[in-house]
Amino acid sequence: MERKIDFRIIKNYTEGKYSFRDFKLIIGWFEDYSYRSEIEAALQKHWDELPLQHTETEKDLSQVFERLQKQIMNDKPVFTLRQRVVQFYARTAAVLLLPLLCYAIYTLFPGKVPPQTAAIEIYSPLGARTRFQLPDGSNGWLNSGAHLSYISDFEKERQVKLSGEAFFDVVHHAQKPFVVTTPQLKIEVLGTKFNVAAPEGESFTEVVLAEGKVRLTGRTADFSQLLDPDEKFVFDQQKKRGEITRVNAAQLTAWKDGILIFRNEPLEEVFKRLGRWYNVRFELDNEQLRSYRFRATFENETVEEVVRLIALTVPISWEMQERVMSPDGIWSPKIIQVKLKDNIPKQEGKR
Amino acid sequence: MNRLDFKNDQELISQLRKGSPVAFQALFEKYSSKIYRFSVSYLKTESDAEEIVQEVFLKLWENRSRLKSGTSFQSYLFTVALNDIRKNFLKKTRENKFYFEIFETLSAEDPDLETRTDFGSLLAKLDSLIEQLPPRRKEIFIKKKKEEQAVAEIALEMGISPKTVENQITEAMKFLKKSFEADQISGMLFYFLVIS
Repeated sequence: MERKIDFRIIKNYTEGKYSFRDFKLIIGWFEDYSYRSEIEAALQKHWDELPLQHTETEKDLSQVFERLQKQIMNDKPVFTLRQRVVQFYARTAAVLLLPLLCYAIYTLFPGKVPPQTAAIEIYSPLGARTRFQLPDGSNGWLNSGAHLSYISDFEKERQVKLSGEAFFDVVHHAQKPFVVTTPQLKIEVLGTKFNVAAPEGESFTEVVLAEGKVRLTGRTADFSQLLDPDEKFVFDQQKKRGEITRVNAAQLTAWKDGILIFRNEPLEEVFKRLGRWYNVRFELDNEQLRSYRFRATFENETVEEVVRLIALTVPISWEMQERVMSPDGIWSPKIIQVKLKDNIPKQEGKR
Repeated sequence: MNRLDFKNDQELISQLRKGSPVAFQALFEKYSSKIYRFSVSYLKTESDAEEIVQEVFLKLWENRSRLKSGTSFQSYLFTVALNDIRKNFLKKTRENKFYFEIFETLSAEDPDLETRTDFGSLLAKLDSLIEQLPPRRKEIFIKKKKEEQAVAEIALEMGISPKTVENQITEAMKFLKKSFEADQISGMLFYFLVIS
């Protein structure tokens, strides 16, 4: 039996030129352990010769990346054996306790057992969009870091609580209004498409209507307001008042399709939306900078690329602070400080 | 879109070790295409190659904290990809064993089939020829060749005589043999016409 493998046969195989006989040889080499290092050498050579980028049409692997992202987001925390043992006993104990508890409630509060209404929560991981569907068929998207909750008898009362940004496509139901509550606003609708942004830690709430009609009611201030399509309502918690402007709703809701569209928007607004999208805090230190108008469409870029691209048209420099972990194990958001560039042409953004 | 190669691997890897999704994405954008092209040249199907890319990067993420900074990142990727490709290749070979057995039978009578260097398309052709068999014949053929059931068992299961089972298999093999012969003749004819 021959002990050497033929690199040429393998090379031809990778290029699609191989016979049944060649293929049987290759199977043998892969199966037989004694060829292991030779096979490895042959493949190593091939690997080393392969360029990083292909000149011709590149295969689109974005779906593979999306699948990966989902797998990674579902990363379960790893428990040590000790923790697992404790967990096992805790669970077992809980199961064993349950009938006892039921019996206790039943005997202590006859006829007064409260209906089971569990809260259902949907959380969109930072840096990702999450699609959701509600029991009534309404659906939508949660932006990075957003959080939506509702109680399990949702069918009776269509009520959801939101923090962060979300786009809703609500199924029409004349008898049952759909209500979104944020810390500052109550938004009532019958059946429409709209976008709500109530970022945590910010003093404003923003509602953009794409279709239909919604009624907005203040929770921290006394007002009630109807909104028409292509109108944006921004409630300012500090001033306790809201303001309506005409906008292009399609642009402001395109994030749900993975696209960010800016058309002649002040830089302040641009960075606000980018911050939500990438879970980054932008700090602008210059008043003049806030009002710079900007126009661009971004799709699938990293935040560094986006800032670089902005710097091509707007005279800014930036500095990035990496995320740091506080002693309690919570990561701070990444902070990007944006400065107006001096008149003297200097090097581009420092990193 | 525009790819900016603004960070070197060491920088990206040290960020990945800290759990940076941005670094992970940058590495994916930089290396996924190479891993894909490498894998597809051995496994020959897009879905298998995509699976390798996914597995390699999943392992990269899971082992991010144990990544060493000194060694070459490319050789790390190679090692992981090689192992996954080997596993997948052997698994596929086992699954497709019956195709090879059919070719073994066919090439015993027609030695050319063994040396033709377009085995990839011969495999695809065999697959489509099996699809073309009449439904019942195909069912029997698959049971016998792929699922390796005994003739008596198939006969019992389908409520027919063992003789019928055998006939159906013989007919199927005859059909395959004829089709490959015809393929070869037309191939030769094509060659003849083009050359002359």
